[in-house]
Amino acid sequence: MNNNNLPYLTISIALIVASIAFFYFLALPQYEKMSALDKEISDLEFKLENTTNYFNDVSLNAEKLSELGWDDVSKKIDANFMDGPFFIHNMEAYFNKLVVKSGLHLNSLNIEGVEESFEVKEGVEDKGTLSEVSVSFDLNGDYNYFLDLLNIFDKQALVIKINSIEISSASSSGENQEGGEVSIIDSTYLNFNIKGTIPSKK
Amino acid sequence: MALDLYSKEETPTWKKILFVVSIVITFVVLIIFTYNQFSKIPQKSAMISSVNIELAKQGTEEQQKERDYVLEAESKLNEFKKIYDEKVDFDEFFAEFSSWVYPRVAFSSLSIDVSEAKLSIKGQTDTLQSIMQQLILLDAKKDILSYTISNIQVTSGPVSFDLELNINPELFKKNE
Repeated sequence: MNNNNLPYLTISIALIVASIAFFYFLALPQYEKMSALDKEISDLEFKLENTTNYFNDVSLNAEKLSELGWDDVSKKIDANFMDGPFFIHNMEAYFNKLVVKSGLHLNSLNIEGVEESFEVKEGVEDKGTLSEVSVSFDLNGDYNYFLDLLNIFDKQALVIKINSIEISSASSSGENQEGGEVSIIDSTYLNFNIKGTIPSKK
Repeated sequence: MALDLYSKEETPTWKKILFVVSIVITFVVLIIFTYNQFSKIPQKSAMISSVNIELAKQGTEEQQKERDYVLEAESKLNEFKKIYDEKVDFDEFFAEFSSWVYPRVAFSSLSIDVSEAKLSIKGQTDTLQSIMQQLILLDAKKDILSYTISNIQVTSGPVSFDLELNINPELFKKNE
């Protein structure tokens, strides 16, 4: 046996063993790390795509809203989300105007369910919750004018939800006349009692 | 022939090959490690940084303003839709109602309860025959689900009566 052969074999085996060990302990963890990085990249790209799409959609919707004149529409819709210490007075003036426009005579108008006190906190925007305020009208006039009033109510941005209507014959003083003959279809001087609700912020 | 005591024995070829192979393997492993360590991993890390930078660019002040604007509009529209869906429409009701009245009958009062879809009517006419005609007319109307007639009073003058109608609630709903 010649000892000259020994280094070749020993070195070869040592190199192979070292290579395997090196690969197992150093190169393999690199692949694990790269796999984790790939996953992270994939997650981040997904997140980026979603975020980009989300903000693109938002931008598109904002553009559409502007094109549709949302700012003006929003101001009109705001009539349904009013509150404040002058709510009743504003509403009375508003309804009076509508009734006058219809041609009917307003005997009385009641607005109930509005909080008497109104607290204002500086720097705090009060979003409030939506509630219903009861409104009742006692009116006199022609049947066709009454239909006009319903039509006027229907066209308002403020949603007036009518719950009940009572129609009866009326004396000129505005009181119901028992047994007075009235045709609903014919135009006659009638008394109308309308009860409904309007939305408000509480 | 003389014996050459100084001559070296030739290394077997397989050992040489094994040696070369072992060196090649070592180099390959070292190259793989170096390539991963100094090229692939930094490349991926750079990519992560780049995507993170892109992500950070999203949600700028302008975009957030737009988002707030759209979300506020959405919230307001949803609230308005909820209110608007509950709105009562009388167009169809009054259009129909005019066809429910027999020509010789007059109503002295009418009460409409929208939530119950119920009408209470006080009516007057000249004869009992006209009341019967009125009832026949009501029978023919599909939007009148049921009715009750009561308090029929026949005096020397007009005949009066009370009528309660249960009607189709859809008459009060908006036609989209």
